[in-house]
Amino acid sequence: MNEFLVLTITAMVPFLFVAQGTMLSGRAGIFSVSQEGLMLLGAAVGYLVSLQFGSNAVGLVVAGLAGAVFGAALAWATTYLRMDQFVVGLALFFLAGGTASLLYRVVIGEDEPPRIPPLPDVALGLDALVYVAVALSLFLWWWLYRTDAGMRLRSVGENPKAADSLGINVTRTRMIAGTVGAALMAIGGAYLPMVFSGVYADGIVAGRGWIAIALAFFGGWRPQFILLGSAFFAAMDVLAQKAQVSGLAIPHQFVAMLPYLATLLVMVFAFRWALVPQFLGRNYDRESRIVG
Amino acid sequence: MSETTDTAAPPLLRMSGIRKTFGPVVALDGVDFTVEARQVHGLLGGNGAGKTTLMNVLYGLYDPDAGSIEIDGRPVAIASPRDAIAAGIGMVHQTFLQVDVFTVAENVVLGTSTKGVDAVARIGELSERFGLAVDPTARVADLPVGVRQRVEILKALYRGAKVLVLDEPTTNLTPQEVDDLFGSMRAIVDEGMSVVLITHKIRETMAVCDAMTIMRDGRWVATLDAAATTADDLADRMVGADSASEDETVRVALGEGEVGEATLVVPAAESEVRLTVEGLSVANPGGGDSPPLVDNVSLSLRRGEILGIAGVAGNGQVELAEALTGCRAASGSFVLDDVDLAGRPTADWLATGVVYVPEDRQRDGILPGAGLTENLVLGSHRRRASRGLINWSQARREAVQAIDEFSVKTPSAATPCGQLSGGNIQRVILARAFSHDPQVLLLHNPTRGLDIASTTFVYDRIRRAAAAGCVVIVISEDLDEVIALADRVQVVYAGRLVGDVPRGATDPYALGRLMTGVGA
Amino acid sequence: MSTAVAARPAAADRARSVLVSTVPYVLAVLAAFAVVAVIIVLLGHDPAKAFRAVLTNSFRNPTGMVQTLQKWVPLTLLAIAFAIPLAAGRFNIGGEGQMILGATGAVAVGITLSELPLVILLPLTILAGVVAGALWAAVAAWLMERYKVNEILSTVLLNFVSFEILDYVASVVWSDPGAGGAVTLPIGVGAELPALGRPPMHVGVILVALLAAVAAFLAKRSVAGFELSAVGLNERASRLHGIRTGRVAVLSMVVAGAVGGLAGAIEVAGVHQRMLEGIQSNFLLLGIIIGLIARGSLTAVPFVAFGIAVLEVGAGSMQRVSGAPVEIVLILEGLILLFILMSDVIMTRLRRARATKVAAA
Repeated sequence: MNEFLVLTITAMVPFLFVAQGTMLSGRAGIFSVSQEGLMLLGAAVGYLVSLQFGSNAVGLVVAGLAGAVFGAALAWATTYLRMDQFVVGLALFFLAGGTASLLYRVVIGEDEPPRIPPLPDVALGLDALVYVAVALSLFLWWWLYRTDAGMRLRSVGENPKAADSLGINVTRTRMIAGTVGAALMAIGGAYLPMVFSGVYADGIVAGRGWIAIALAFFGGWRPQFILLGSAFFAAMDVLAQKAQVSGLAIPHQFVAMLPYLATLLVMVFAFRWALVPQFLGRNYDRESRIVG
Repeated sequence: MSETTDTAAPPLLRMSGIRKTFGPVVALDGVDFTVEARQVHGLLGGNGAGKTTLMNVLYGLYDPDAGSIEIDGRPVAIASPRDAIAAGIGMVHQTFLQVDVFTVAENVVLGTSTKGVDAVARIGELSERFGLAVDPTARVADLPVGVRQRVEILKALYRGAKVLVLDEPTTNLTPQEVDDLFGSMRAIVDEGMSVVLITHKIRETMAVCDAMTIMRDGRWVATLDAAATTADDLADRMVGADSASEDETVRVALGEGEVGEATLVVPAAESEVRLTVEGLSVANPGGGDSPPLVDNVSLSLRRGEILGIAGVAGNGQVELAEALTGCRAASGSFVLDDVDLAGRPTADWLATGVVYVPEDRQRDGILPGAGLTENLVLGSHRRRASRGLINWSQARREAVQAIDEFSVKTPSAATPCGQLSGGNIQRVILARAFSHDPQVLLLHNPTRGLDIASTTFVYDRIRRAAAAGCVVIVISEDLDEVIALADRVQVVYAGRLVGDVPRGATDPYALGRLMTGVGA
Repeated sequence: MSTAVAARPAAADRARSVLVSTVPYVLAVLAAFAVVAVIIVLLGHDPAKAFRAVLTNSFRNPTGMVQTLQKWVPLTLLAIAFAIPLAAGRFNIGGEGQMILGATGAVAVGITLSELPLVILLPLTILAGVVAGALWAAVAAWLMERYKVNEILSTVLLNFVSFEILDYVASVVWSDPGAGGAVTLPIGVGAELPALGRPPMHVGVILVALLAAVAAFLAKRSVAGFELSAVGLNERASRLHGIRTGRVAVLSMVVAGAVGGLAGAIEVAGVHQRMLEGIQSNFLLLGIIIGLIARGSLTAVPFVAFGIAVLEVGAGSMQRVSGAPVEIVLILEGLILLFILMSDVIMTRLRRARATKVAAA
């Protein structure tokens, strides 16, 4: 397959996992801002576990579990304790990132880090996770809009009081969505050392977590548009990297700025037509006496 | 209208000894409530009596501290709405619990399994049977209030409710729509179900209920058959014979009497016109052909005049209120005492004495996390400051005075206002409003959710302000309140002001027609 | 009519309640240390040695104290830069971008006008940093107000853009050919912050101490401070009462950017005398942690910042003495934050439970 396409598609995968995870969590009303930290954690855990057990698959699973733990913590703090979502999200971002650094430091220390073998190609020069990511996006698209369970999830993020009054378990829905969403974010991070660099480094995520949040907005919190948006950003990312190595008249620093500036530009237009779940970022209190 | 009770059969619903506290507040103090089958049972009481709380316990939204519930003689454990629905209880809340972006059909089936069920057909069938016409494919956000209420009722019927609880369902309906609703209620009862009607309107209770239970201050007061009581009797029991309201206005506003009974208050002899509003319009942000939110409103009000604006919620009341107080950009002129305030920033309007008391107290009226002192300072903080600094000790002194003058029940002036009860929050808001020395006072739904004492207090303050020469505008979705308070009544429909009826000449049905846009 | 209600509880009661309210925070900090002690043990080191090293390093000798105070400066400034918009309900995560632009502005003036005397050059250099930081924040503020772009996203994305700007300036525009890596030429002598004492401590410390005191005072007493907190408490109600909430939000971000820019300018003028890659260190992260631990109170920020500065300066010593890795300190700080957040929740629940018991009695 054309090299540019392969590069773009593989670059798309981390964005896709993290943005869909953000969407899933957000559709239940939990607005996570821990993505960057969760990706770091996923990358470190995925790399170290893969190194230890000689299997990327095991690394991915454990990375997902690590992310799930933090996701459950955010969901629990916001749903049961009704703490501010941004504040807890930031605190967990720090803790996840700090844990990632610490784990790496403790296991590898100052030594030269050994490289893990990359994920093998499955078809068309692409690895298995590419197909998983795309299939996941399509599955979520179907599940959200065509199943009763998907409708229930959406109602929790739009009007949890309405959902609660109809017997839907709002707390359980939020807990599950927040946990699974975070697991996806960590898996997105684990992909980075397994396909791109072969090792973990503190700067490996480089803002992708934040861009994924923008993608969720840009895609109107809908999995099908998030898929398209992720492809677009991956393309920008690859172009920027290519420009850096080839001899372009423009200083490479300005090219490197492009993905971030493009994201900002996209956000400006996104607000016009993006549909945001009405209860995004808020916490529900069944016994609240505040009228209306 | 009499129900045949087989004395051997257990009542359809029996709640016994229900107790519920919220922190230090006792909302329900050992309440008993019994409903027979095929009965429209009124649950009557002033705001704060505990009626909604009791039904929220029944519906599993609140966890009671003590008490039991029986359906058809069998005890049921209701820990969540899911249990309540399974036990055959359906509830229509005061604020509709609908997902705005979903369609009618989606809202009705939400939470149920749609496998193998033709939902649209079932909804259509229920619609027919009970006179609740809806379009299943319409998006709920686009529908008017009356239709959204039908969706709420259909939700309960779709789940096979045996007991349907309606919480203050007539608040946002025109008199004609109220008649339709009562018709549907009788159809429901004829099919073997029971309806609990939560209301504070005595007139309605007498019109449609077979029996009524009265609550006051979180306690059960009495249960009576409709045939065995009168409106006055109910009023006395609701308010408590010793503190029965002598205030005609309050009695009429509570729906106790017929409008004609209110004694005619002769408005002040022709005083001069203080406020002239011309061509006030608020454009629709949707642009293009969308109709304006406030459409070319003109007013002319005299010193001490109280203008009442009635209407069904959603016809531009909030936009009109905000435009009339400088809180929303609008075109047109607003001339108060020969000064045109149009186009000036909100702070200027406030400084000139145009004061807005919004309907949503928690969201728009106070800083819930701040104490009374800070809340009183809000809006006048620039005026008080010298050299950019606020004198907080003076502000605290004034707060103590305000607490006394407005009888605010609070532990101290530093207690966060969000913890106060609705009535006390409104008192704080009024204390602030009056500290601005209002020349124009605009209140929107000022007594919604307030207990009788606070309601009386608000009406008293309004009339005192008018007597002092202030121009008062009361926008209220409660038709009884508007008729009772106002010197003149107009109706807002689709952003336009229609009709203009002086006190004593008001006919609720004529106003109802105006409220739905049928000609004057 | 009613019994006289107090304006607020008597002074003695207030003092007691302040003391009582610090107890949960102290417990939270101790709990964090306890958890980290367990982690240190699991890693095979001695927690007592580790803690003693990290906590006493700053006080052992004047060098330690100077290091700590000089680190306290950017920490306090970035915490203030986070806390001011936070009071209005906005999240400024762009502190490091604002700091980097501030440093850029400072070196731009400090290098190009390096011949000017101290009296002129130093104020200009600092001012350039402040203005640059303010402008950088203004971009995000404008996007926030005009286009409703979430400010968390815009400030973070601008951080990444600022890294490239730093790289460009330090590798291309004013690059120092002698130094390895992305480092600028040194600023002129007239742009350097004077230093006092032995070992020398730059006067930025005094400047920031004054600034922090003034900021805390204004937050409590000024009209602007009131409007800021009103907007944070209830934006709609504030707008209905004449406060121009959009303007307040934008101004809070711009002022925050100015403070962040000041941090960059001071690092250039007082510490490095040049701009280099990594000048922003981890100040943003720590600044946010400090701001959150201080619960947004500008009065508490300088004190919390000092505590964090002590930990940061002691981290290296801790690793040398006990073997516990420096990364542990970040985990400790993150846990302190988390436990303090939780202690608030627990206190609210206890209070509510006690009130329910009173009602039942």
